[in-house]
Amino acid sequence: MKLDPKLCILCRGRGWCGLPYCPVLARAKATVKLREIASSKQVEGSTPPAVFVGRVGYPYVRVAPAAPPVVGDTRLYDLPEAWLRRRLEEILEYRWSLIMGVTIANVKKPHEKLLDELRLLAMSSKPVDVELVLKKPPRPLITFAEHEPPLGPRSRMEKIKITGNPSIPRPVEKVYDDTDLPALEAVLSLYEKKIPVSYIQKMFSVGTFGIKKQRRLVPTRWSITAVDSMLCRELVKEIKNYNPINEIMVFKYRIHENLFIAILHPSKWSYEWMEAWWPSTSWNPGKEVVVEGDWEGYFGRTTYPGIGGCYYASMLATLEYLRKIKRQATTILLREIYPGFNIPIGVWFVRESVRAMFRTKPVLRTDDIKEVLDLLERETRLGGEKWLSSSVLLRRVMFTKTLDEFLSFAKLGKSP
Amino acid sequence: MPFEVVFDGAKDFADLIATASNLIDEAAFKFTEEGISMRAMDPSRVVLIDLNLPASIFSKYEVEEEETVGINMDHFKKILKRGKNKDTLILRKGEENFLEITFEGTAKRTFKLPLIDVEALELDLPELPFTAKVVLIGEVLKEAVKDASLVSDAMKFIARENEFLMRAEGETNEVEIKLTLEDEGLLDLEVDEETQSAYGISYLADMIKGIGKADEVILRFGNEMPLQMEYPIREEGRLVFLLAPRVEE
Repeated sequence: MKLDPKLCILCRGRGWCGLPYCPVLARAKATVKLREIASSKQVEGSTPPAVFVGRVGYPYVRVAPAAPPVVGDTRLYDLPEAWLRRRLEEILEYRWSLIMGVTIANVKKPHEKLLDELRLLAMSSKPVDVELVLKKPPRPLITFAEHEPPLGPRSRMEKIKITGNPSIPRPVEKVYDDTDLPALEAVLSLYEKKIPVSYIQKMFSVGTFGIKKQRRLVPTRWSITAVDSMLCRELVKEIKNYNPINEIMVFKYRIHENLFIAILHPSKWSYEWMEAWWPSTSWNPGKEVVVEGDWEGYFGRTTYPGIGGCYYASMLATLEYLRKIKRQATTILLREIYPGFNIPIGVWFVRESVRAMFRTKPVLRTDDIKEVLDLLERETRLGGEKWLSSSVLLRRVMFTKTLDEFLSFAKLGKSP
Repeated sequence: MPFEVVFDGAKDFADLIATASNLIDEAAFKFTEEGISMRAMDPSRVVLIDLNLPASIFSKYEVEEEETVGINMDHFKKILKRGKNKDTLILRKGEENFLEITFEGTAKRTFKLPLIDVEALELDLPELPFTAKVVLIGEVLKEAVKDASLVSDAMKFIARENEFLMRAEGETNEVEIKLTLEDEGLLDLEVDEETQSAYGISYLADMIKGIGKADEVILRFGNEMPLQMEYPIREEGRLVFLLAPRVEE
């Protein structure tokens, strides 16, 4: 089987190679033991809450509430913000034990009775006891996706009984009730009230926000990046009001066979995100290391970044840090993904890793960009030279002079 | 102090501002008896913009006293985009802190843009010891930058006694655009010594957006020195960019 690894990295299971299944995904699936699933058509449990919206068949999509066969505090089963330091196996365990009851809905009609009920679940800040009645015992089918957390077994849903009480926070209820409030403003106001991003994304996907007639279901995968990018756009506006940082700062973070490095340069805002995938990692079935990335200058971009949702997930984490220190910077973020990390666990992993990285102390503070190259040479497997040649912004900072030296030069030249 | 200026062809003016707004987010426009000028540096301090619109290119020009107005370029651009090619553009300021932008065509449409505080860039365009001057047709430069952007993020300008080269090298691909005085696209070439210098393509791409295909563009540069790019606006006005070089290797 011949695959173009560059294609896989950009495609991530969207089927661009033309095969009826994704070999990258299939291999990962095969290597993981399936969990035993009770062969019952009835599932009683507490939904964390979790509701998934698929994207296949848009605008007629699959919508599925999910609950593990466990009653109690199941919050951790769907809370990426709390997963980072856990073992991958543990995270997969959470996900795969979420049993999904699938139903089909038209994205433009988010106000059917069943969807109203599912929305109530998604809006709850605490787990809700439910009873899923399925048409058949759930098939132990396990999916992988870079954008969504991995999903568990599923079956068509006959009905859902909500036996517990959804607990809906005041600010959430307020933006839901306000049918004149644009979705963007709803998202921003919840974010400012410290509602976790994953929770906002979940509500966003079931049509909780926006002007009444414009409310609709949004596939989970799209809603994650929609919320990340909306928040990014807003935070960028804010940090542009701050002064640039005073010196070059470099941060480093290693986790689960991944290395993250952030280079903050004392100039105005621009952003670059790059990933180097080693062979046999989740999105690179080839034999060579593949580097992909995207960037934007001070004025932002008008096209979708080819590299996908990680671009905005990592940018959001970066902007949160810049906002905290009230500064702006040209930021170059790079990630190395080593063999062994072959289960794609979702975009949340990038967001939470970058957030964690910015909670650590910088590993380097300097005025000399050459020291950054030395550090890259030391710390990365790709090496300083290769990263430099892959990075538009790193080259720009290294090689583009500013006009300042020429302006002073000209003045000196003129004086006697 | 109040002023009122009238420019025929609102779209040309909009293009001008759109080009500048790719590089700067706010600017101080100075209205004097002689004309309107604006000088600003982009956020990365790599490009300097110098715009000069003499009173003579306006069909009506009434400025009693010198006045500097600070403008948000993005808002200005968006408003100007609403102008049609045949519309007449009127820029007016009364005693209030607003710039009135009026399009006169089939109807009279007036926008009010609030002015902001912008620190004017107090510096003269430096006189740099350039060693090469190249005059070419706008279209040639526009196409060359597009060609080069396929293969790299920097392009090298090379001026020799009888030829001018633009070259870009990527990891695998290369492109070279060569012009001699026999080519229609090259209008003039003055070279004191063989001169080479490289520049970032994303900046060049922003700078050339407003150039008309038929415009004459004057390039001046020196070895590892900034590039000065100049093109005329309605013959007597001019837009000048100064772009810092890239120094690889």
